Amino acid sequence: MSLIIQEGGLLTILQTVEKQTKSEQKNNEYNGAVDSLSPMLANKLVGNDVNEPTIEMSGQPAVIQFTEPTIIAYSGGDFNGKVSDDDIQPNRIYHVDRGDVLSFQGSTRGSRLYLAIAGGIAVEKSNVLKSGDEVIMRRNYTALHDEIFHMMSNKRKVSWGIGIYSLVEVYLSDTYHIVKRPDVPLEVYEKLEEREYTVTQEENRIQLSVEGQEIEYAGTDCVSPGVLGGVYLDNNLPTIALNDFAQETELAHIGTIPSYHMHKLGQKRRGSKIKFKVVDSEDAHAETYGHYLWVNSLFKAIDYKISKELVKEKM
Amino acid sequence: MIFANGDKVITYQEDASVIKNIKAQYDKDGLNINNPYISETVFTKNTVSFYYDPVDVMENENTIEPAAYIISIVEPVLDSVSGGK
Repeated sequence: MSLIIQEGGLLTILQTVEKQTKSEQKNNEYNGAVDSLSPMLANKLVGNDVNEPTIEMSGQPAVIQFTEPTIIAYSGGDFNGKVSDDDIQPNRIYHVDRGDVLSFQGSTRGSRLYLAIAGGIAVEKSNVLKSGDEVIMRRNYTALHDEIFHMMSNKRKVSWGIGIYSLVEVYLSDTYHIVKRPDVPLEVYEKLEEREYTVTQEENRIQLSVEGQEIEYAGTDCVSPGVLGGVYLDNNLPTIALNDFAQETELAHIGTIPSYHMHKLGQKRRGSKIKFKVVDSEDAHAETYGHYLWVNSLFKAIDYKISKELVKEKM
Repeated sequence: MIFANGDKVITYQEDASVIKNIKAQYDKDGLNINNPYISETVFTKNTVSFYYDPVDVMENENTIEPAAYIISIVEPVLDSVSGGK
């Protein structure tokens, strides 16, 4: 059987971690998770390949019923949830039974969460999930899944998870690097760095708009590519491109936020603050590599905790 | 003008006529750029952008400047098509 979407929430979508460019997606767009770190963490916790598609829920999350037992984890915004009558938290492993209903309360931090299901999930129709839709469990189980299922067979949860302190470095700063362009005047960047902006709205997965002091710069008469993290001036205010942004734009492009800062951008909501720090590509790549090493060390820590739990179970 | 567009894209920006020539050449022979790190090539009226994974380049090419590496691959090709403009 499967998962049933009882209530669709604000925007619930089956989404890949990274953008998929292959045309075999049955007319669905898979432009990647807005916060691509969270689905990888959730997948890692349930024993999946980190790039397995997850359910991305924005703003008001969905209510989901399970029609068979499975193992779940969710990551992202600080949404507290419930499985039937039990409280659950992000970044932990849970066992759910047939008939259990998963729901969420509001978030104290962040705007999105990513739900991973052991063995993976798929849809037959649209990947935008509405009330009454069904999500298919792929049951692509590995030996690790079998062990995790066995470990969780007589308990709802394990006693550990990924603590918020482990993720502070990635999510809690309001400062965003922007890789500068060679043709944009320095005074544009000076103004950008000295000002603080406030998020006014996110057009669903398309762009993040802010308010604050305007920057007058017309740019060149050019059609720029719509790049994930691209910062464009729209009515003299920065607009930041998210995953579903247009392929091209006539807005003035002033730089691009590197991938390692896009996770926290994906969790920003109305009223959140944004400050920019201008960097060149060499600095950005040093940070990119540092972030890559940090993510790998976090994955190794999860592997270690799971293996320790499995050993404990066998003793 | 060629520049690092964030940490995963190299963008070449020129007059529409130049990009049109490059696009025609790209449609004909893919610009003869067979580089394993370039995953996607995207055109607009004024730009051509090359997507790459900087970590792959850093680890496999033993460099701390992956953007410079990709530029060193694509720039001579673009210059040859655009006449060095």
